[in-house]
Amino acid sequence: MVKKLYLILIALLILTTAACSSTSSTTKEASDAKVVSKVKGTVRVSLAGWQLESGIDPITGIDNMGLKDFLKKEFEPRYPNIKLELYQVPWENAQAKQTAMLKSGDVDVLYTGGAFASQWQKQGLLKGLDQLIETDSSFDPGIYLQGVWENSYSTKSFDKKVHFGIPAVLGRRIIIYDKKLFDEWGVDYLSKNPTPEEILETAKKMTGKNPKTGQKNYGIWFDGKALNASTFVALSYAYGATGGEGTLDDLKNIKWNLNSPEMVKAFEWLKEAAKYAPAGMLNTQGNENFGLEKNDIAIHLDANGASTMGEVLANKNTKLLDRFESTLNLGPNGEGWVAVDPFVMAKDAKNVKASWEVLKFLTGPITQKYTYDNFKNTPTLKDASFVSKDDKYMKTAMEIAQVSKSTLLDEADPFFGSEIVPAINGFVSKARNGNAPDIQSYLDDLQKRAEKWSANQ
Amino acid sequence: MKVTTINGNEPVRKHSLFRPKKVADLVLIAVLLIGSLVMIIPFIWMVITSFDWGARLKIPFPPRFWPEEFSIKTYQMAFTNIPMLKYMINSLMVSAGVIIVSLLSALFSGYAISKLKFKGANIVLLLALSTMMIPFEMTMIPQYLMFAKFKLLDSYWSFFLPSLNYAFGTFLAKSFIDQLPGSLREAAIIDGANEFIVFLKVYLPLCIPVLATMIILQFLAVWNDLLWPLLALKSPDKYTIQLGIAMFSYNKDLPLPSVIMAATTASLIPVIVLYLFLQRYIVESIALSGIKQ
Repeated sequence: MVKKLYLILIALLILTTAACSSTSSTTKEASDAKVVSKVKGTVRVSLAGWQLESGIDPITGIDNMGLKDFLKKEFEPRYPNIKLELYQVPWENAQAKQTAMLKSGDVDVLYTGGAFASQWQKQGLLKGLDQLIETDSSFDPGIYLQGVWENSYSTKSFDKKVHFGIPAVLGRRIIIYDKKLFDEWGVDYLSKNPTPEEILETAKKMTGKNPKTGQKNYGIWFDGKALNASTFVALSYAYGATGGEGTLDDLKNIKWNLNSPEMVKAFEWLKEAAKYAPAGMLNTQGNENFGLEKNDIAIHLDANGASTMGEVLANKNTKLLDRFESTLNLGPNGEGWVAVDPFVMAKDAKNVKASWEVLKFLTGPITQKYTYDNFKNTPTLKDASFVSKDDKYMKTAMEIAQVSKSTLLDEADPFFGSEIVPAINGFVSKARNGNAPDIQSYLDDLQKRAEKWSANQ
Repeated sequence: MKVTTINGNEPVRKHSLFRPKKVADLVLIAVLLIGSLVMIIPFIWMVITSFDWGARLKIPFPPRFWPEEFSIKTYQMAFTNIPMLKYMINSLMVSAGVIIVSLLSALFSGYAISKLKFKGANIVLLLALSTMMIPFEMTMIPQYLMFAKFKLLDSYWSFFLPSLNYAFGTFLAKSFIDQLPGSLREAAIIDGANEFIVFLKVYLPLCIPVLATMIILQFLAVWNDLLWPLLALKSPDKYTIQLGIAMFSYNKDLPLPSVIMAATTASLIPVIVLYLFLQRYIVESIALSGIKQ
């Protein structure tokens, strides 16, 4: 009897929840789009992480439009003879799944992580787009941020000769600081393009008991477990620590320089900065309140501003927008690590013409506006006038992307991901716990491993 | 201490659980209580966070056991942004198919090895059990390629066919049927029944406890599986519940913890319902095997 009661209650819960949910389409207006191409064909598109169904925006809580509804409204009128088969893949397992799809010839166009795309390009699984670009007068690569189009491993081959991807979504890595804490501590605000020394000095001054509130404050936060070591990459720009000479298409002949004085400086900075960050940074935690009312961290490196913008959009809390200010990254021109997620085409795409039309549409201004409006994705366009003027964080991210270039210290470099990043994160962990090893010996060992690795390629 | 007698025989002393006699009992209770809390606190946190709209962008730190902003919007999101109900139904269909196929396979083979006593029966059992030593990660690529060749990917046959080999179920069934008297079979055969009727009408009704155990084990395995559905399925309409939950980090910058907790909590409901109905049989199965030994 009790069990049956449980069953009834649970069934009611499911039914109520399902009934409360709304699957109504948000396509209220018909598009006035004209036919762009009459190319015929079926294109199989694999998308890492996109939302296909219309639903609820997690930031604002209001309805947003899923990709299926958007395509019905904007793609179908323009390309009436192209049938799309959409395959959605979770981000966490995207590389494994999409690699399997590429190798078994089950996909034509993919949206994926930049690092995955560059690896597939090296493995010969992707189609080069240069010929398609040259023969299509309607496609203008000039609409994309130059830094991303010309200098990113996510869209261009390691030897810089082949374009294999079109940039679609930019990752945001900017510096954000809390002006309220700066005022409480009586410290000058950061400059527009702060140096690592400026950051460190400022962080040192603001770690401890807040003189006004008595609350424990931390001068800085950076990710001590980042898979892409983005803070370190920004430092490498600042100190000119290139990591070596060579290109990623010729791994055997890279002249590594991982124990240079510039690298030592970068590690010394990490050692010092770790003292002013909360312990949770070793586990990508400790920054849960950053960007919000209860924040206790003065400077956040490699921030994205999502929490603050979320509050602004959801609760119209524009005070937070004034409070949390953004600056460029640590490089001399504001460079930092820039994540780019591109659209790419499979080498054996079944219908190349139709796939190319799909590629252009999904990376073009109409789709980038759609993803910005509905999911707050950062566009990769030079002229993104649809970005809200309040969204200063996105604008800063785009400024950084315009000037940054990929170097050897990039997740596209297999040695970087497998050895350099663990070495950096391991060092930060030890430094945070007061057991930092001798930096020169640490880097000498890393250099030897790098040379041995290259020799084995 | 209450003393009773049974039929005037020796007194039977009853101890109440709530009156521990020794310090050791107290310590044991304390340890078990702590252990239980350690097990149950994450579950409680998960359910509470699933109703916390304020935790949708970041996991709250320090962890809180009361929602900052109570809302069922997280559940609404879980069921609208991803077609969660459809995925749950898909998972139920896959589970049902896998359970039927694997149970039939396990019971038939377990009965045959236990009662028919054919030559090489033990070797067959050993070979079946040895397949359990090979991790799935080693067989998934050849399995994927095989199903791709037979054009069975993106269909539920890629779940049903591999479940024909349910070695652990064969072992469970064989061990359970070993405990049932062989005289039942002999008597039925004398009465004119064939082997199939003997199995169906005599032994199968007696195997309910082990059936229940196998059902819940297989259900859990299929319900929780992410890797094989991820590889084998392409069409989002056919996705299972775990793929649906994995979809939620659609923007790498927004982990959506409370929505994921809502989806996870909802996905547990069928498992809990199934266990509620089958737990008696599972306990019976364990108890029966203990007594026989």
